[in-house]
Amino acid sequence: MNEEVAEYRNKNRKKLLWMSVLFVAMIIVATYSICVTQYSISFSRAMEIIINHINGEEPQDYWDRLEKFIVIDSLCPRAVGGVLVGLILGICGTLMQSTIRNPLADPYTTGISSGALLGVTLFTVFGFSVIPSADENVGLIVSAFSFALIPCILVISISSFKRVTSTTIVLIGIAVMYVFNAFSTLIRYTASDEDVASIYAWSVGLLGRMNWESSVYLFIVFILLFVISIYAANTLNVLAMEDKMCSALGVNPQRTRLFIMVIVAVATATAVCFVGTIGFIGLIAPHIGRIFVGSDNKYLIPASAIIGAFILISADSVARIITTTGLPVGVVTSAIGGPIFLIILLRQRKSAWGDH
Amino acid sequence: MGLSIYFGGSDLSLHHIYELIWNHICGMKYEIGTDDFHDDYVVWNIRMPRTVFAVIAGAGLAAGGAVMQSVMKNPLADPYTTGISSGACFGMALAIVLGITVTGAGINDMGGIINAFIFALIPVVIVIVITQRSEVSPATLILVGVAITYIFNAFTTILMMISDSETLATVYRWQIGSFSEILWRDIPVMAAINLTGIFILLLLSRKLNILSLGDNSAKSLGLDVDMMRIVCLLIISFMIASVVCYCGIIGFVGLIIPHIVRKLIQSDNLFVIPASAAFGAVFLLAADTIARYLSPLDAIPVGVVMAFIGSPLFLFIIIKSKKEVW
Repeated sequence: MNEEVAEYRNKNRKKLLWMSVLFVAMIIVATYSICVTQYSISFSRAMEIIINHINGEEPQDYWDRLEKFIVIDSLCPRAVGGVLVGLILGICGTLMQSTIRNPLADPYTTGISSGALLGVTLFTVFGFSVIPSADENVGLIVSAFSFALIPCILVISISSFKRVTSTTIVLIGIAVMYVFNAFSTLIRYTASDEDVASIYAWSVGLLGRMNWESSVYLFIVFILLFVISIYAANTLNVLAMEDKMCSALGVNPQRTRLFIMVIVAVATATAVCFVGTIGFIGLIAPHIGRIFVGSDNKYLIPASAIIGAFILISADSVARIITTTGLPVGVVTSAIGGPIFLIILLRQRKSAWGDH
Repeated sequence: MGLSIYFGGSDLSLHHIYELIWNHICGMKYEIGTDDFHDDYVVWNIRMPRTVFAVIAGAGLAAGGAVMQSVMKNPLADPYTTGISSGACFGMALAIVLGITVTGAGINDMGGIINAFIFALIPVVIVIVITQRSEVSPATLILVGVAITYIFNAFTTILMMISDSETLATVYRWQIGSFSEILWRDIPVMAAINLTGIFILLLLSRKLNILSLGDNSAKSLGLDVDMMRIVCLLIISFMIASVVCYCGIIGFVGLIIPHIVRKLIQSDNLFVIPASAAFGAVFLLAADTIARYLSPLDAIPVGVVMAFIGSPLFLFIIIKSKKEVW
């Protein structure tokens, strides 16, 4: 018996080790990404500026001030925001894949992102808001959230009332996405040029518009999401079994699913509000995470969060290296994510996920 | 058709338009600078080609969709959902932005179309390989197409980012699908390919009926099933490539029309193909007319209108088809 316990502990220690390795890698890439830019600011110079800023030293010279502005107000929030969005999307993907037992699920493929995007579009163009609130950011998030709920409810109700395969669910999500995108495109034609530019940036996914204020919102949402999902991790593990088994173990599958999906919708809506629809992060991250730490949600959730952040921030750095004007990060993630989606799709029949 | 010529930026009465067309066919020339000359120019050189193009494109796309659905035995198949359109769009973007053509011919000649065709073949090949190697459900197949669309779109966007603003506008217009820049010179090649394509598909329609009995029955009736599939898909991709080259990706025409037609006249391909072609032509023309009616200055491209009508129906077909036997 003791040997087994020791083995179990050993395994967990290994998982923790993997997670810390990934975490360190993520931090390194994120820090490095600060000096990837079209301006010639070297890595050591960027670090120097940050340290000076923390020490409260104000630069005197014009160039120094410009450099400080670029690093502190543009590149740093971009790195921080990128990490936060990656963390959020990674967790969301894991939560969705575990709750609806679907290896292809993520906020993007099930249409939640495009729902949120429609909410954002409506808010930007018409100033249409679900609750008339004073703060613009809150209004934006609420609007995005209400529209993100539509695909959530659709997915839950269809998967509970009918026996559908996991591919059909994703297909429904994609059809929903087409519907929402048609609306968004139509609205784009009635909008002013300025609005069109910002909506286009949203629809491809761009980290360049991050600032410190939006990082604060993302940080709050991330903390909430992380705490809730770690708290729910054991329940999620139970949910991996059949619904009848769940009930026998005292977990109400429908209620848990609804709860988790609402959480996912909130988190995704917040992410979409600030960076637009960035696809496939939530899809890939849990799959890579399972390779490292297995499918216990207690470990998988933090691991895929870290991996999500790692992928997103590296994709953003790659995007900035390829073109000087900055390729939208959403394009890079779908160029990487599309093929992986294809592989998962074709492999899943052979694996134990149990289609049909 | 008449109505679609009628709607447009400048105000012309229906009667006046027919007079102009008739006169033009009779070879009448107006003096340069008069109102009649201007009206004649608008009708004959801007609206007519657009209408003719919409009719042929609609027919081609709908017939292509009908055949794809019966060849792949998949109610969700059409050139758009299987990724053929986006492949063609990428090929065309490659030709325009980087000037790379597979044959080395210029863009204005056949180079663009051949490029679009080659890249349209990539999804076709992937789809054929996947269906032959493993038992996949229709939904999975469409998801494969969607994934391919994502990949191609990502690459097209990358191309867009490195191109200048003028090219960007062209490529963007393609991604949405619009008839606003169609001229007479665009029509002959595309019309020839599509009309021949529809004609060949019609000749094959009896064999397509046999194919719907199932692969084993079809083989025992002396039909080379795999060959048949490949030939049909080749013809379709050539048709789609020629359409996409000029007006960009217009989705859902090939998906919806055959479904409506089958509801009306059952599923004999001999009738479904021509009926789809005819209905598709009318439908696409109507969609374009609506787009122009809503925004006389070509603000709303026809692709958006189609997406609006098509995507809810797509959703409906997916949800509904679970009840039936696939």
